[in-house]
Amino acid sequence: MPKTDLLQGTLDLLILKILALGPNHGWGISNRIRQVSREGLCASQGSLYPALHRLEMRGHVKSEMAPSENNRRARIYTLTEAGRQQLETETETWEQFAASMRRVLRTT
Amino acid sequence: MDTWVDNLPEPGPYSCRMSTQRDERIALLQGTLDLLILRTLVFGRQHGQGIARAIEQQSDETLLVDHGSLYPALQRLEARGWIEAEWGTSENNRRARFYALTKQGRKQLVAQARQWRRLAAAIGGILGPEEA
Amino acid sequence: MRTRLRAYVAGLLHRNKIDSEVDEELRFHVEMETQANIERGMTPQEASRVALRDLGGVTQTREAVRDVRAVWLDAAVRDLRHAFRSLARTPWYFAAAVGVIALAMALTTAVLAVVDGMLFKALPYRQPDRLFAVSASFSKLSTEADTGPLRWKVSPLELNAWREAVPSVEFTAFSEGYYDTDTLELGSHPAVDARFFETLGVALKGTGFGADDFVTARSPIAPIVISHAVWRNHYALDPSAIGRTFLDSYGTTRRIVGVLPPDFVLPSGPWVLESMRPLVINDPASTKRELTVLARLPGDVTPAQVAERLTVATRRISARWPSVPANPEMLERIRIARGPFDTVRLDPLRTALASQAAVTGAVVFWAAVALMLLACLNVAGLAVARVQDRHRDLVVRRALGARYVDLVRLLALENVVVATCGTALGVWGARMLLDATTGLMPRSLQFLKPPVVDARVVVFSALASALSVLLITLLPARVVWRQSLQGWLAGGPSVTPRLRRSGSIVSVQVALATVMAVGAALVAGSLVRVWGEDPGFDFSRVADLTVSIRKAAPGTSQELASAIGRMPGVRAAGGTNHPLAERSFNGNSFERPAGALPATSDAARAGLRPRDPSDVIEEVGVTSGYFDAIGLRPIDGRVFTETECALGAPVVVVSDRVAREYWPGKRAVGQTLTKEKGGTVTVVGVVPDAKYLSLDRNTQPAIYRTEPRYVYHLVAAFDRSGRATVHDVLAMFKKQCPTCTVYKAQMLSDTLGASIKPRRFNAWLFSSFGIAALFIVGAGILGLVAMTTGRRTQEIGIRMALGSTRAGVVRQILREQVVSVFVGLLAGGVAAAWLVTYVKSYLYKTPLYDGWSWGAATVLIVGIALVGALIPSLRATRIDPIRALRVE
Repeated sequence: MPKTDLLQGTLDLLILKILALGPNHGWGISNRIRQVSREGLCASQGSLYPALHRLEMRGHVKSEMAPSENNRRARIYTLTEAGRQQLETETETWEQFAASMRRVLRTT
Repeated sequence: MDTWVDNLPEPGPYSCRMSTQRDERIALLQGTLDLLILRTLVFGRQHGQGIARAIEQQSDETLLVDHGSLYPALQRLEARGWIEAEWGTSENNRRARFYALTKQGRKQLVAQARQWRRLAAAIGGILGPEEA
Repeated sequence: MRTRLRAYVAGLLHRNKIDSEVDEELRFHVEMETQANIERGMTPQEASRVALRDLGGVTQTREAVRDVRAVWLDAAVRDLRHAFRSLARTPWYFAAAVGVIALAMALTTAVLAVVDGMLFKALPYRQPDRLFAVSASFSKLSTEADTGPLRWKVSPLELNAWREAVPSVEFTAFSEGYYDTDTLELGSHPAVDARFFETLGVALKGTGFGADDFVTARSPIAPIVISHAVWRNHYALDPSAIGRTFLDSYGTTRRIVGVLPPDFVLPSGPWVLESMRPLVINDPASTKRELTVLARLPGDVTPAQVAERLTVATRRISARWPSVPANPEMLERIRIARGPFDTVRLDPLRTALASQAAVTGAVVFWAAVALMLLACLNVAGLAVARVQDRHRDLVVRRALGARYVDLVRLLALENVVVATCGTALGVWGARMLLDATTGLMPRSLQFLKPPVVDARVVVFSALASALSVLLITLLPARVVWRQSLQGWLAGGPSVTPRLRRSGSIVSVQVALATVMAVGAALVAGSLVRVWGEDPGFDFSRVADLTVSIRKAAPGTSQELASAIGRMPGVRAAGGTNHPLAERSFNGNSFERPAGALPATSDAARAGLRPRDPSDVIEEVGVTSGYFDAIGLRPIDGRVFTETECALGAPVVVVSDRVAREYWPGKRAVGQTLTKEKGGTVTVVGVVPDAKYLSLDRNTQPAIYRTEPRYVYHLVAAFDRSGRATVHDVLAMFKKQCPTCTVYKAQMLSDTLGASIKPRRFNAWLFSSFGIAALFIVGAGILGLVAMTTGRRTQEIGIRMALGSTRAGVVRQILREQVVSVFVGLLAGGVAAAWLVTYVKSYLYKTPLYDGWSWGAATVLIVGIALVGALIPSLRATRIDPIRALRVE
């Protein structure tokens, strides 16, 4: 049972989830996180990019430079098959953890 | 499936617009363990081993506390003044340091718990309609 | 998996491209965010500022990404740099660890080079696994000394019988020869037969010998093939040297017809191969045994089959073998050895070459292994102490998220650095060591190639080094795992981690060192005893010439001796036909007189195994002047006169043991002895016994008779004036007898030294291991005590402030080491008592449990341990107590 680096893993989890809906670039992902969480999470954009690159190194996503808005090139990330599997695993882990926390924090 | 509760010196992924400083990011990340410690101490003073055991029990054995992270966390909380410590004798007659919540600590507990719930909800929102 | 790999490789190759792309990516982000901010209502300036701030700074982010993309190489380089820095902070530890490993590595590498040279290097012949050494021997002789490949030489009669018996096998033969070069150094100049180079598969430079060269009729210019070393040293690899003629010291004109390849090696004596001559066998039915035979087998016969057929052929010719004259004094085994062979065996050439090297190899190899183990333990102990020193640093790392694996990897990397430096130093040291000791190696160690540190040896050393890193890291890794870091934190700063582990490490080291020290002390003590032995004759300022007087007229020996004896600066000179300090015992040709005591040699003669060569009464032919030159003063009667020797008069001088054995209770002078061939001789004098074979043998009883014709040794004793030297004697020799030859000329002390050369070499070998072991143990104890006292400066300061004297503190520190050293000494003593039987064959007149040697070893170890513990404790107590208290 691999030890998951939990909270760093949650950022990875969110990234993978968003990419599951379709390829995107870094800013797009950051924006979406902000929107869907109703401003509850503003993923520090500084940690987003290292996370993206790390996912790529691990083979969970793949990327390529492509022309985008603003006449600039941006790096577009796509979920790989391995990434899809990872997404499932991470989701499970998160749910388990959240459930545990709920149990502990029950009576507060 | 057991989850390890660990502390990682990674830049925190969740900093709302305000916190872009590095140490705040770390603080928020390690917040989970801090939160659990504070939560446990609500029920009375405890020593390190006892805290770890309590966390495990209360989560129905689904959370495992890594001792290597527990003690630095206790140091940290003590430094911030959220808990205080004193020497005492444990149940098997050994000397141990016992920790207890301070008033400041109690307040922090509430704040941290709230923060956690918000976080969990937000993540849940992204993950979709499943219960988060 | 593939994507991962691709990302990895891409990371390595496209470093710069990726950097610039990341920049582009971030810039895109900032721009989009700025735009979004503007849409939210900020001013353009504010928008961009907030965007940058939210990102966390482009530079920072770029760094973070770079960290993520860093490949294993970057991490490794970073870790390595870190390891260096941390080692640099503790230079004494670094120096000690590297020094210890270098020392052990130097010896281990040298041993590996020697063993490799002896056993593993490929033979420089074509298809060497088809080459065999053909050895004939006697089934009746079965002692170790008498069996073994190529033990006995073979005659042309036998060789031809073999060739006829198995025509499909290629036989080739060579005979050894040594003649002097102008430098008077003995070189090997074998005579090889016509098929030699072809059978072995050796490519010569130049034409080589022609068919005519092997026929009796000798051309006025003798052809010669020189070795590569001679070509390099004397002719500087000049190709025009081939074909050149030169005059050798006999006056023979020789032409160089070929050069041997550089790595050529010959299965023969250990002297350096210098040249080869054609072997001329005048009489194919000759029974003179002087040939060594090698064979190349075709693929379709096995060596066993060939050996069988050769045995049959050998037995068939035993009928034609001349009978050996009966001599009651001759040892049975000598008589058999002069008779016909009755068994033949084939050994692979490699085994034949290596067999002479065997025994020492095994002992030395294990000693090297033990030494490496010792060194590893030593460094491991130091590393453990160092880990405990750094517990705070490790705890912090752990708190920052390092895993156990990371910590161990850090430690391992440091050990890799230490081991690599130590190994490099050690390998370099081994080269120097081998250069220095090749001269010390005795005849009995034969090498396929001179032991040299080459690629193979380095590879082996690297492997040994890697193993050591593993061993060294094991212990501290266990400590890091076991030690609960929380305990240190929870307990507060005043807790000193206990040194329980290091005590046992010290004990094991002391035990290993004890074993080696005892072995070394025994062997070295043996050498001291041997060298202190009185040979029974005076060998200071005596020159010993090995000569050959061929076809000389009667009286030549005496004339030569007298002429040299008359030279200014020469006190006395004489000749003898018995080798000095070389193996040879042939018995004598006289019958035992009637009233003689029962001979101790009878018992020896009864068996085929000689009990001791000193049981044999040797017959020695001498000229007058011999006794004077060699310092044997008569204890009764007189020695020979010049006239007696010149005429070969029937007089003898006997040695003391003979006198007492043959004529017990009577005076020997005036008695007579009967020659077995008839006739009598009269005893004119008695001289003391001498040691002819070697310093480490007992004295030989001898009967000296006059020798007018053939002597093989000339001894010349110089007087104190120093007016004459060996070269003067040589010149006089050549003047007196131009057709005579000098094979070797050296001082008698060198001859005697050579006789114990194997012993000297072994003593040196064992001593160096012993000394290295002692040094390592000492360094280990020094390092450990230094570390512990360093940690306890506060405690020491308090003690001294409270009134304890320096001596008291030092004594207390020493006391802490006493137990582990004592335990180690005990364990080592027990192990040594058991293992010491393996060095029995190296000892002389030294019992296995000799008090002096064991005592010396114990004293050395205790002394080293004491010094090792004393130095750092003294240093520690020199600290001002106030300063010590301030140190945290």
